[in-house]
Amino acid sequence: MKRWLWLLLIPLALGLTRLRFDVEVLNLLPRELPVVHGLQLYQRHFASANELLVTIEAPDAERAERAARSLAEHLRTATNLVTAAHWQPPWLEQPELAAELAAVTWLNQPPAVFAQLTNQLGNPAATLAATRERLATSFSPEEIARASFDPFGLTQLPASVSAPASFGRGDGMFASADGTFRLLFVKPRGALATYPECAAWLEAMRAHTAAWQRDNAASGITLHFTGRPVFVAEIASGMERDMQNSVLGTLGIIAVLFWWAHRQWRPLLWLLALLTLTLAGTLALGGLVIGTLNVVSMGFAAILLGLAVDYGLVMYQEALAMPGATATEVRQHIGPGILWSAVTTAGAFLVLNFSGLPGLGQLGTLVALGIALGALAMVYAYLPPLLGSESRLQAARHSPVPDGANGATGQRAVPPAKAGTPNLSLLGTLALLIISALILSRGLPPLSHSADPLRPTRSEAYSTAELISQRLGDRRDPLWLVVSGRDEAEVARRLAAIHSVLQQAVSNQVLTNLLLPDALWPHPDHQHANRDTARWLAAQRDTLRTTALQAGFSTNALLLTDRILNVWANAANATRPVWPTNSVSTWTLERFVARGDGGFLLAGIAYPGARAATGGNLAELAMTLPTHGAWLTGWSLLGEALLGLVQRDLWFVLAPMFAVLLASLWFAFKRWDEVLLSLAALALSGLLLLTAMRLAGWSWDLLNLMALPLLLGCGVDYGIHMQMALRRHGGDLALARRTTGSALFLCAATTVAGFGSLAWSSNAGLASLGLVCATGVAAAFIVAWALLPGWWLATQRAGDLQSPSGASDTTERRLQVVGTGKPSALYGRLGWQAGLCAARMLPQSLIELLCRIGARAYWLAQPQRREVVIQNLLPLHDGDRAAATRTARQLVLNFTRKLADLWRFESGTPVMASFNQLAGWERFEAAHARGRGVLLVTLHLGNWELGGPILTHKGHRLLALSNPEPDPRLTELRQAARARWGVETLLVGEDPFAFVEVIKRMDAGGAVALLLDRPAEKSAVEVELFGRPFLVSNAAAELARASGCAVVPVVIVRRGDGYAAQILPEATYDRAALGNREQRRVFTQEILRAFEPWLREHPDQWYHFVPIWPRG
Amino acid sequence: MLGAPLLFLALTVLSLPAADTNAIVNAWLASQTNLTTWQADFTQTRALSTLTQPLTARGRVWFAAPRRFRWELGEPPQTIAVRQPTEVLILYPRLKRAERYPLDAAAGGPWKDAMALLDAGFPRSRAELDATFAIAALTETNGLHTLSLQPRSDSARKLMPEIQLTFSPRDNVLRATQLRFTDGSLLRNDFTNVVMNSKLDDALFSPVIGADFQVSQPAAKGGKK
Repeated sequence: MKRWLWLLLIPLALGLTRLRFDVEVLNLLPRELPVVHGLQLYQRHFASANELLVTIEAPDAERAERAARSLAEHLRTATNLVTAAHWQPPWLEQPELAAELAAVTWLNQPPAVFAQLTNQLGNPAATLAATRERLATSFSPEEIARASFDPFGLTQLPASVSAPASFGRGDGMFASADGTFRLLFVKPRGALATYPECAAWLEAMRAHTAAWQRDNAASGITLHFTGRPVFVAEIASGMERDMQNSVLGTLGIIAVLFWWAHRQWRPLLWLLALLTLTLAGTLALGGLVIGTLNVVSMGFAAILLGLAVDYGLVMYQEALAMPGATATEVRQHIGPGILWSAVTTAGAFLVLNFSGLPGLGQLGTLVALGIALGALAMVYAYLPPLLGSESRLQAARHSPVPDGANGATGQRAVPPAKAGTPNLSLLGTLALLIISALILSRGLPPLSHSADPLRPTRSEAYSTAELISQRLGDRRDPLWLVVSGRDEAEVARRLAAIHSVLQQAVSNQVLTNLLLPDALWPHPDHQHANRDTARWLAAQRDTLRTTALQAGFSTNALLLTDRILNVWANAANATRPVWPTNSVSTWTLERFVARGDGGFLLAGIAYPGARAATGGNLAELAMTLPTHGAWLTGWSLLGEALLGLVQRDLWFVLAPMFAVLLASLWFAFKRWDEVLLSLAALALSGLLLLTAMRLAGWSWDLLNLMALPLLLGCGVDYGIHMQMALRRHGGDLALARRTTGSALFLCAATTVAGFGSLAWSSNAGLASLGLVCATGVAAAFIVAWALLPGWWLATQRAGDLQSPSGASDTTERRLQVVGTGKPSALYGRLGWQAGLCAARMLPQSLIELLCRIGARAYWLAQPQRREVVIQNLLPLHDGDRAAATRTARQLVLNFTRKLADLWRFESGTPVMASFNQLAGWERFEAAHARGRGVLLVTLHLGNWELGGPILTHKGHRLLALSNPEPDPRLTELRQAARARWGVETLLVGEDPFAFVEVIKRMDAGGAVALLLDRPAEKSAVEVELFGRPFLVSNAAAELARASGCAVVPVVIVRRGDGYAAQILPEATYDRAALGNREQRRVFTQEILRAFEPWLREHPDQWYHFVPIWPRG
Repeated sequence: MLGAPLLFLALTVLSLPAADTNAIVNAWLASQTNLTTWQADFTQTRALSTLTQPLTARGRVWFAAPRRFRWELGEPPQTIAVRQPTEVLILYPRLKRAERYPLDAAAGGPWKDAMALLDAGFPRSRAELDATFAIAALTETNGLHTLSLQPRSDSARKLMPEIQLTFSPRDNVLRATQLRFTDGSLLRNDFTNVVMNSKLDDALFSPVIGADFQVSQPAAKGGKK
């Protein structure tokens, strides 16, 4: 491993120190959505933010009540765990404490309302008479109890005041109407700030309640737990379980598949170890980049394993296919491809950041980081320990392999498939289309508008919360209204501002059962204005007492009145807003009021009205309120709002994804028919996914919609690889399936395992995302493996499918069809002009740097072209692929330098100073002296173009023979550049009389330059080079025969910082013998042989980027 | 101050042996089986712990077997309670308010218990009586028998630990009921002008609620309006 890789440990260590986990699911959602922000506020500050709720179900009301009371008393004894446990409204246990809240509630009323009390208490005798009448005639036990202890009716707030402020029994919060279901509110001791604290506390509470159940033989009593401590502990434990199950499950499947394919322990164990390290490293990087990771994002682990293992599998596969190659050689060969693949896959996951759901973006970022890390780990660390004992891989290669295995690699293949005909594939496609159409004709998978994907699956906390809602509340999902403000006055102002909006919504039946505890809110203005009234009322204490006693009330009946008057007496002198502070008041206020986010919060409740859904009334109301600093929120609104966002942002995700996809396909194939086939395969995969979803009864939801971009990113690969394999193997379907198909099967299986393991995630959305992705990947593989080859065969021209006769090397066949016989697309006029411009303007050092970067980029970005170069060089290295690869890499770098020098030359920069050697000039002089003309022949070796200035410098004019460039304007450009140095250009291949012109020039004793090693088809003749057949131009022999010129081989190669020009000994010939075609071929062979030592010495300057060795 | 009446009460109350109790109760219950309707004037006395003197109110009650009744309290009626098969309707004519209390199986709570207690004066059989109450005592005072009952239901007992029915052994007519509440308060009804088995107008048990009445269902979730 390179030393610099150890530097990675520094950020990883830093990341681990920063790593935190967030168990709040709502933090995954975009906070800018009002409904999300409102729900976050509600969940954080209300909704039993600090309480455990215990539900008690019993066969009858009496047992339920007995159990609730007994359990509450039992829990109160656990003073180390519990601060308070309420099984009934606290004011029923301590009714006298309700006085404070009643008094402050009165103070919060508008002065006109509070002033009504002056009438009520101004004539106490009449008030008491009315109370006595009520006491004598009421049938309501509640009313009798209230009037008995509150003869002046001070706890009876005006009808205009919302219900929570009236002090009834309040049983509705604690017991169902039939009494068989009861609720216990337990306040923990301590803040329970972290999830380990929550989990430990909850475990202790469960043990405590279990002991109570044993001691009280509470058979028939069912207990359930919910509330924030349960949610937090549940989500945290769910995360641990998910991580363990999905990671271990995926690793297990990977292990089984690897063993099935390769049956080697060492590479398997090392692969698993690296995957584990990758996972840990990704967590650390996540900590570094993101800081706090949401537990739902932990689902990244399984996805990552399923994807990262592919890189290891490919590396191992390639090592098996390159016997004797070192790890570095294998890495150089396949590493760039893997790294580019990782970049594109990581890019697909990073696109999730545009999804509008920050949580999904976080998941995407984690997977992207992991893929990058995994690719690096597999490329740089996987093979070195394994190839250290080369014998093991040899053993693997020679180990018995089952039928259908590829004997060259030792890998086990998928069961051999019949080389299917296009017809079979087309029939299969047709059948699938018909089946899908039949199934989907009944409807596409529905789109769920629910927020359920955000909720955990199999959650006691959620199911218990829903049970409470059903048994104690309305069966409909409630809506919450959250109002915030920096201080009491701002909340009060905002309450007043939204009041009319809400009342209008109630009138329009958009909302119903609106319960807004504005009466409880300390309204500073009202309290201030009510001070004088409070003072006057408090001063009536003696009068009231006397009158009450005279009316037959006992002193017990006046306790509550006394306490209320005390509060008003104190409030009359208060300078700050008055808040009630006793335990009953605090408990009551905690349901509706909270302090947080640097201010105050108030919560109300409402239910959707009959016309809530009409024309998006409710959603419109929810969007309107935040302008007043209030949020109308609820799970039912959340699903709708998020889905809208996801649907909107889906196009922001899909559009770039599709553009990247099209670009990738084009660069991969450069043929529209194959691009279209890939798109068709993707479309059919999508259709199969929809069919499977319909059959399974799944629906699209706000999380699994994001499977679409992921599937585009992951699924397209299979189609690319299969079509490439078919190209390489000349349409040999069976061979393509045995080789590439096997590898794809392994990759797809591990990816499906990774995604599929999410099905057991404790988060419903992640589970659905995993299932849809796994199904989609499986569909993409099946289509690519089973159907796409048939389509491909059906659309190929017969010529493309001809198996190369006698070819034993599939690489050669590959070169016939990969389309790399064409010059690079980069070789064009614009690129050339840009190069000329850069060469003129940029300093030499910068050009050198750009050359290095450009060479590296080209090497990484052009795997096919790279392969061509390697194949061209293999004969020079006696088939040593590793050596050829090294040379190819250097060749690409040398070529960029050569280009830079050539651009300088063509832009007019003098180049003679760059020559550090000019040898054999006397040979040219001797040949020239004979007056028959000199034909300078060379190869695409070194920087042959620089020979022109040498001749010009020596006083000779040169005619360069050249093929037309791909672009006529480029041809003109280059002709002009040569002409600047006194070098003429004659295009051969276009003008049939060009040859006559050359002979004329020879007859005049001129010098002509000719490249031999890239012949036009008509002039090609087969000779031998390095013992292999090689096609060269016979033009030199033809010109010699026609003109009798001297044929002088020349090489100009780079040596050190400059160039060395070497004029080789003249190639002599018998002109008469050249009348024979075979003799001309022999002469050509002799000329070429003169170059062999130079090619051996400078293989990295023999610039050919198209295949040069003829077919076998 | 209360000592003298209590001493008087102790001297005049004679507990009856168990065998006699059953015979007397069964005889009274047997007479109830023939009861189809029952109406009376009454004086209701409420002795509350927060009042130094009891409160009294006059009213009228109608009963139709098996479970329909109408109580009117006050003159003119301040409160009217009508028990129908599935609910109890409380009307406040002066306040133009009406409250509905369902008595179906799903409903429960103190109101259901209270209604069961209001039915207590008119048991149809011994089994029915024993299902709801335990007989605590049977005493005779001034020629009238008083049957003391304890609710079997915990929640009802929590509301009213004891209920007393006073009837005349001569004609087995209910003369008084007394409910004792947990806080010591008492609610006593003394019946006069009793008329049995006369035809009652059905409209008595199906009161028409005026359009200007505000109707609520306090025991329902959310307090439906």
